Amino acid sequence: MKTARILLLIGTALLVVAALSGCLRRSQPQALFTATGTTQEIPFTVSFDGTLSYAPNGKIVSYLWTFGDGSSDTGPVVDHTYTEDGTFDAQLIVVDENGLSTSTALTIQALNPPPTAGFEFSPKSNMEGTYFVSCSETITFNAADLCSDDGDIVSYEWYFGYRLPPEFETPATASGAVVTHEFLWAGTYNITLTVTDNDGGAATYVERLDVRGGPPCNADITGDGTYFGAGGTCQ
Amino acid sequence: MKGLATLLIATLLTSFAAMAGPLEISFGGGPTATALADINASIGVFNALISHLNETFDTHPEVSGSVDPLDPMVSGLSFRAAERFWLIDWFGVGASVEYFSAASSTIGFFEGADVSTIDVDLGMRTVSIVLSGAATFVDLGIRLGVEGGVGYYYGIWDRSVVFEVPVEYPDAISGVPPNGEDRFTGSTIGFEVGLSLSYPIAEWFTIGSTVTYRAATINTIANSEGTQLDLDGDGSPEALDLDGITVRLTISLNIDLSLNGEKE
Repeated sequence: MKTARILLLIGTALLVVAALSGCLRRSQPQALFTATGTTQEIPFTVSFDGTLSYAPNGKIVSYLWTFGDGSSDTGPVVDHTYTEDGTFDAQLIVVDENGLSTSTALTIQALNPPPTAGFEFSPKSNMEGTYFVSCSETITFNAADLCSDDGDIVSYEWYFGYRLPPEFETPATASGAVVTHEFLWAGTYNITLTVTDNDGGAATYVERLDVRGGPPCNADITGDGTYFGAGGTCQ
Repeated sequence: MKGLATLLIATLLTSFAAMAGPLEISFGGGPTATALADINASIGVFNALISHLNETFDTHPEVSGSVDPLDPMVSGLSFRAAERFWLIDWFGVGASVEYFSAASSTIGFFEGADVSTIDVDLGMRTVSIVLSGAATFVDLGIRLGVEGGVGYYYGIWDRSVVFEVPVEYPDAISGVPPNGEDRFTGSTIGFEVGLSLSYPIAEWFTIGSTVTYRAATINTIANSEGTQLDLDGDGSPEALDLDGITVRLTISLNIDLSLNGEKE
């Protein structure tokens, strides 16, 4: 009986030792950092500060940064410049003197700068500082020289509005850096150019254009027996 | 919960088995220390951020206020009801049900262009059912013994977090905990070992104390949608590490169930 008690006591002691060994586990370090300006148009530089990180058991001996764009750095405080647009996870891994590590991350939004849009047109007339074009004249709209981007502009979309009352046609549109258009009816038109770059960035430019002259009132300009302008829109 | 039901049935069966000999029914309670390593690491992150914000806005001309840090969840109170059947004079088997709770909270505000609130309320409860054996080694009026057992531990974790960084803070901060309110549950099997000291006041009544070490970790604790607890939002789920020590004062009622009124 005494032997059984001793064996039980030894067994219990072993269990206590095994259980208490769990108390000796070391806590992981905690990675924390701040970052300046995490959403900007490229190129831009972000300052990362990892000194908020701490290690409950000892001190942090290593700061490893990965910026999500393929580059990395070390040290508690680092700067990094993003030159490509996109969404990146900037990650900090800290290692304490016991070799334990942990990580944390922030999302960096590197925005694609949009293109700039603009155009010129010809021929045009100047009357006391106001430019206008004439009806039934072929006007060339050129956006090639006034649009710019950090990459390539891949799309030029034009909107010229209605040449006839809306119930008679769809609005006139065109695509390309240089296009031509002929206005059939006098009036004021909002010419709209939308350009899109290779990263999906877009910009829109609108210019009001006076169109003067044109056919007389009630002219059958479509040749199908329909007479336009009777509503008082004649110039 | 299936495991819990199984253990309850086992407990009842143990009770029926105890009908043949001396039965000890005890009630007790006391302070319990728990590791809760992952949880306290997350609380450390909360406190590091709170401390950083306090320091940042301590001298800020347009923002006032501060927030007290959270207390680590390292202790709480537990209560236990147990029954034990003494097979022989110095060895018995039994079962116990124990309830443990712990909590930590803080609330504070930063007042700038807007009022930013930090309101964190964390609470944990566990219910455990332990099947155990106990042995008495020294019986000199005061009895010294050891006990050990295997248990089923069911944990409930309540989390309510509002953590608003003032707009005046110039940078982005990693590790800001996600806001929200949720309940997470989980269970595990663990074991306990301990030392007991008891003093019989009368043949039917004993007072005593126990020091018990518990080893049990609920590795998966999830809400009703199956999302695991990630208190600090670092993408790594937290476990409920219940390892720790309970110091318990107990009172015991000793019931002699033998038919002739004598101990076996």
